[in-house]
Amino acid sequence: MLSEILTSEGFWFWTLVVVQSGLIIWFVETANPVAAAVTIGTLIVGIAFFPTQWETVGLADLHSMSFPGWLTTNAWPLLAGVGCYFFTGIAWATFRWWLLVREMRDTYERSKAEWLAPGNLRSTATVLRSQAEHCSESTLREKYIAWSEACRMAAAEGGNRLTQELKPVWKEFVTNGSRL
Amino acid sequence: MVPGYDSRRARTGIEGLTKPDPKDRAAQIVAWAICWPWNVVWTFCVYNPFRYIGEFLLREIQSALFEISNGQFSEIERDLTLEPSPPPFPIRQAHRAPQPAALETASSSDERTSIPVEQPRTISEHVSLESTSTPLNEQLPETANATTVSDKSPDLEAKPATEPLQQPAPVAPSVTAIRQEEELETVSTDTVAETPKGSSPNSYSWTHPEPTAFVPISNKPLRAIKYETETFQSGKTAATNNPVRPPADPWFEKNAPNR
Repeated sequence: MLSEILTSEGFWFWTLVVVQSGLIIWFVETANPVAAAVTIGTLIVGIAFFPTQWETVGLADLHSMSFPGWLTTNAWPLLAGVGCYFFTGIAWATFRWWLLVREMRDTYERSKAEWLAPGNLRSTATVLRSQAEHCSESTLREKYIAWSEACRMAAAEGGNRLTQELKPVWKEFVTNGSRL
Repeated sequence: MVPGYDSRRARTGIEGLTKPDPKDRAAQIVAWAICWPWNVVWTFCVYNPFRYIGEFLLREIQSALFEISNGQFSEIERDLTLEPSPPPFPIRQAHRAPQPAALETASSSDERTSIPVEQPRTISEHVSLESTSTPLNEQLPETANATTVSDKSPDLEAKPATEPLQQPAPVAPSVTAIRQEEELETVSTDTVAETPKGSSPNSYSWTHPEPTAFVPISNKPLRAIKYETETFQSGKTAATNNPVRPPADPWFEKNAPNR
């Protein structure tokens, strides 16, 4: 049973497709378009080594004619297909960009809501107060004390609102994150 | 890549978040465009964009439906709104010296807090009545009043148009009011900022006045009007140093002064 599977052309064909697809997804996620394009090219070339699977991918005419003849016969459909492919790719890239920016915004809003929770504001005020106590520079100490007071007041008022006093603290948090 | 930003960290935090620049992410976008069939499968399996698509569609549909409602009901709402619509130009009272008329009437201001609607009013009464926060002891004089008109005052525009006025709607202007309105329009607007006596122009500190309510004096565009008082001198020193030549002065015509 296993030997039949391993010796079948279909198994290796679909293995090639799956592995190449994984590589393509990996290269796209790591923003490597050259490697992704090369992988697509190798996938197309690799199909040539599996004649029994040509019908599966819609290339049954290659059995009855040569490859140049097939290209000549299907030149316009091929060109139209390539054009549609890239046009769809541009549309998809635009949508994917919107999705990425929307996801960033969603992450920002979620982090902001978590940061503006009264409990988090109180803990931030405590951290800022301890930083002010251990700070030797007077200007920086005053700034930390002011920020701590702003966080404490915002927590006392219920939080969940980014006031003008909290904005510099929030900006510092966005810039430096946990190192605040 | 966006400077200081790792897209994989965006799912866990916002540290170093900056506005994404397509130029910095050109490689990523090209990869999306070239390998879109694989990216479609991966995106829909991993990132679950349906929540964003659903929110976006819901918001767009809501705004479209609200626009339809607003468009169809704008005239109906105007008909059913009882508050008077604001005039095209808001009026605010300028800082001015206490006027004799105002000083005389300051003592009896309490008696004039309720003026009958049937009583004919003057322009100054209109201004006093329509000022929501200004006390009535600052009654404007009977002559040309010092009012400053700004075409687009942000403080006043911030007030909602539907905010009810504390005083009733103005009645039709009387003959006196019409006459004073004409006087207001004939006053020259070529006046400059005034400084008090004994102070330099640099020492003149002007503070933004408190916003007042809209005062529907007339539908005509209002203008900034100033009037001369005894306690102020004109800040236009160039005009005082170079007096205007009288048109029919024979001495000036002969260019022989002090003759």
